[in-house]
Amino acid sequence: MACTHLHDLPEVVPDSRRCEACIEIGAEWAQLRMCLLCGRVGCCDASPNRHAAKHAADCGHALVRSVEPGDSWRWCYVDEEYV
Amino acid sequence: MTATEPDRVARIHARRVARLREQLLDEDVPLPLDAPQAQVLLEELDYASHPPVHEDRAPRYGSLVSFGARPHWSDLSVPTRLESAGTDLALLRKLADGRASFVVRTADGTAGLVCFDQSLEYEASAVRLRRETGAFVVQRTRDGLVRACGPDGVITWDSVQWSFKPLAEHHAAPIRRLAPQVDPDVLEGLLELSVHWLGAGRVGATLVLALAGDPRALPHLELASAVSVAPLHVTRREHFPALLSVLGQMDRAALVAADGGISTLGAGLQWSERSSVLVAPTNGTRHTSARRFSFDEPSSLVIVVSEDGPTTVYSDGATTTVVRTDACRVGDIATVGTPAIPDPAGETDVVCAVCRKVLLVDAVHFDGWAGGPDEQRCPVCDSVVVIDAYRAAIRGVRKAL
Repeated sequence: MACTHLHDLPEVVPDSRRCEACIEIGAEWAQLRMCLLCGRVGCCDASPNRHAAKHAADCGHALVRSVEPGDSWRWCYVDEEYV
Repeated sequence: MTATEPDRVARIHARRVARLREQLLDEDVPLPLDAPQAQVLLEELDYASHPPVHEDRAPRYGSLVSFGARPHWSDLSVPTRLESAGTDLALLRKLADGRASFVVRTADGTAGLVCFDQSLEYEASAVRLRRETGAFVVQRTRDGLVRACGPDGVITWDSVQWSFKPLAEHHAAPIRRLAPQVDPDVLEGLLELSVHWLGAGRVGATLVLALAGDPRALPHLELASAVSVAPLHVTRREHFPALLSVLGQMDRAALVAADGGISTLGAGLQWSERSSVLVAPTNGTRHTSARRFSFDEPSSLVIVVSEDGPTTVYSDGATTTVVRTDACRVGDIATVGTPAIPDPAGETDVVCAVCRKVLLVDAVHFDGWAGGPDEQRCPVCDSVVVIDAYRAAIRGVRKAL
């Protein structure tokens, strides 16, 4: 089923090039994702704290994109699919 | 045995398999544990870990677990195949030594036995068997090591921890991105030889691949003590045992021509004063000489296999890739399964101001980003490289075509 969360995405700019939530608690991360609704950057699901997914759950922002160099894919946490 | 004993044994077995699944999940072991057919794979891993002990001896064991309806038998030369629907699986398992005989288990629940006329005991054989059958190859070796070879790589349990080594073939693409002129079959053969034969056999070696012309013409070779051999070839797997044998008994480098032929062994590697200044010592003499030589010889790739297993590819003074076994909990396996969707718009070249090598860079750009350029270290000379991007990663040195 096609993702229904893609409509009217704003132009956003990442708020950091680090996972600030990990920095606060002294944690490390594997890769970074950016919220496509607000630009919040958080760590990926392979990282210990999964801050990008927590942000999506807390704020209801379903879509992220990878901000790893060379990656451009997007993921919907609600529909659990690449979009 | 009481009437309830089989049920009790079955319950114990089911609980053990469930515990194994939890352990594999907890340790991030890259196996498809959520696939519908995963139960069969778990049962085989469990059996390989806990085979019945007879006269104080735990036997070897082997099985092929197919997630499809059938392994690709047509591609195999299998002298004996026994279809054995209805045969007791416990008895079939006693026939499977994991070297030349294997239980076959398929997703539809059928079981069988295949017997080969040669030993497939070693990692290199398991890798090829997996490729040719499309099945997971599960083995318990003479030393009690449990090994599962799947589409991502080789997973092992050594009674202490689960470890993972990616298949050599998965490392070909990033190397070809930097050196597109390399013959794909030659590169694949070189990597398979290095990772699954030499590395798995703990044979240290250095191989210099010339990307064009006669490898003996590379200016920074010292050939006074080199020897010539009848041409062996890295694209011919039947030559690998001979290469494994001779490289295990000789120091210095083997020279590989662009077509994969090896006819010179025992070549010495030399390098310039500039290379000594710019390229730092790396992991001992063998690695340092290989890396510095590669700086001076941009029309080559240098592959170093360490005696403790890892394979490193050097190009233009930089480490292009390292293939090694990592404990699953601490290894760099987070990207296994991540879809590789290239973003050509983000690819760019940057010249290092110090060593002058052309660096292949993947970058992410955002209009409106005000955090300044990214800074990375040159993989050749370790100087700071400023890249005008939100984030950037240097993939290596791009070879001139």
